[in-house]
Amino acid sequence: MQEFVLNPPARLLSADPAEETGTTSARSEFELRLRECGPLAFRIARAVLRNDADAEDVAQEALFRAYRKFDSLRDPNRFRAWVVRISFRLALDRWRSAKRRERRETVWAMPHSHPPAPTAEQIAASNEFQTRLDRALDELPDKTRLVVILSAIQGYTLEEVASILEIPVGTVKSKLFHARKQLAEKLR
Amino acid sequence: MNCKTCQQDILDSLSAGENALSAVSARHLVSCAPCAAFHREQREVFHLMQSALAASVNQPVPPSLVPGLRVRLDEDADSARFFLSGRKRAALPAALVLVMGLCLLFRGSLRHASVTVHVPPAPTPSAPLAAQAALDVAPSASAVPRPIVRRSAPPLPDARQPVEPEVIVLPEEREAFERFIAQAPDNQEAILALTRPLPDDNDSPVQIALLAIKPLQVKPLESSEE
Repeated sequence: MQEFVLNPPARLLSADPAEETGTTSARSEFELRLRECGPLAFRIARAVLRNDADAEDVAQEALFRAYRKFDSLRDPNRFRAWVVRISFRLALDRWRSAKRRERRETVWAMPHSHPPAPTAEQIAASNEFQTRLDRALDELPDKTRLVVILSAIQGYTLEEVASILEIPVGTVKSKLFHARKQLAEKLR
Repeated sequence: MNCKTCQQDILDSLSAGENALSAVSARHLVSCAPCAAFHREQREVFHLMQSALAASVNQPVPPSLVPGLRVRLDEDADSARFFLSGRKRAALPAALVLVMGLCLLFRGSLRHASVTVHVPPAPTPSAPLAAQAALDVAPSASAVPRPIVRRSAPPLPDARQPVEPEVIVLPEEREAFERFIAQAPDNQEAILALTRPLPDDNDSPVQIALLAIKPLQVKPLESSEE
């Protein structure tokens, strides 16, 4: 398990003592939030993108933006909610642009041909259930999708999900209920 | 309870994340084999769905996440310190004012610079004006783009040099102008009048005299009979 600690390098220490103190305190506060929000940002991005490298990029970008806005996000709940939202948005943007690129490249590469039907061995080899689940998840509305992802992350209760998304617990339950029903219908 | 209601109840309870069914549905399941099979199947689907979702979401966080973020934060802090630190921060408004002043100065000097686009050679009394004008006409007039002429205040007249006629002809009119010069009458003054630039001084203002009405004398008409 990695440790989430950001130590300011010695070469960056400012000449102004007050400025240095302010920066160091902001940085140490940010480190504290990062212990929870770092993995959270990564997991949300990973759930959308299903790719570790892309998810890492997105999580870094989200956390970087959070650090730059840290003065207005000192409240821990607000910070966490902000990181979740920005991670999800950035991941969705990247996922959509990748989809567009993929579609364009497919059209240009094979304008009039259809992909060959997969053989029984290929179907067996690929994790078909996972693929179908991913596709079904992608078709969920954005807000419902975020609720499903957050509630699937280990260690988060429905109350915490509601607190992160700043919505009532009943709304979280309702969204989860409809999402599960919809997913099960598509997987059947 | 019929099978449809029971299956709906099964789906609802599984979607809500509850394992227990209502008492009525539970009793129906005991007596209905297809509904019991449906229940088992759906329970498996929901279980698989939850476990696949959890596996997809709870991936281990890559160890390079924080070092990468640290590098970005350090770079950002570096650039922020370079531009906005200590004395530099205090000097920033002064530098801005200086740059704006220089820009204004530069604009002012540009406005006063004169750009002469077309200066024809001075006409000599012996040279025919037609040839003089033909010199100003480009051979491929239609291909030449319309010139943009920027002129500043006219230069002060030099007593030693004669006034140079300046003819600026639009590209689309050059051919016609050339023909006109070639076919022009021998009246040199007319050509000079056409090719000479307008004097810069404006016409003197027109003065309108007030209408003066002299006192009228009313005379009775004299009859012709008298």
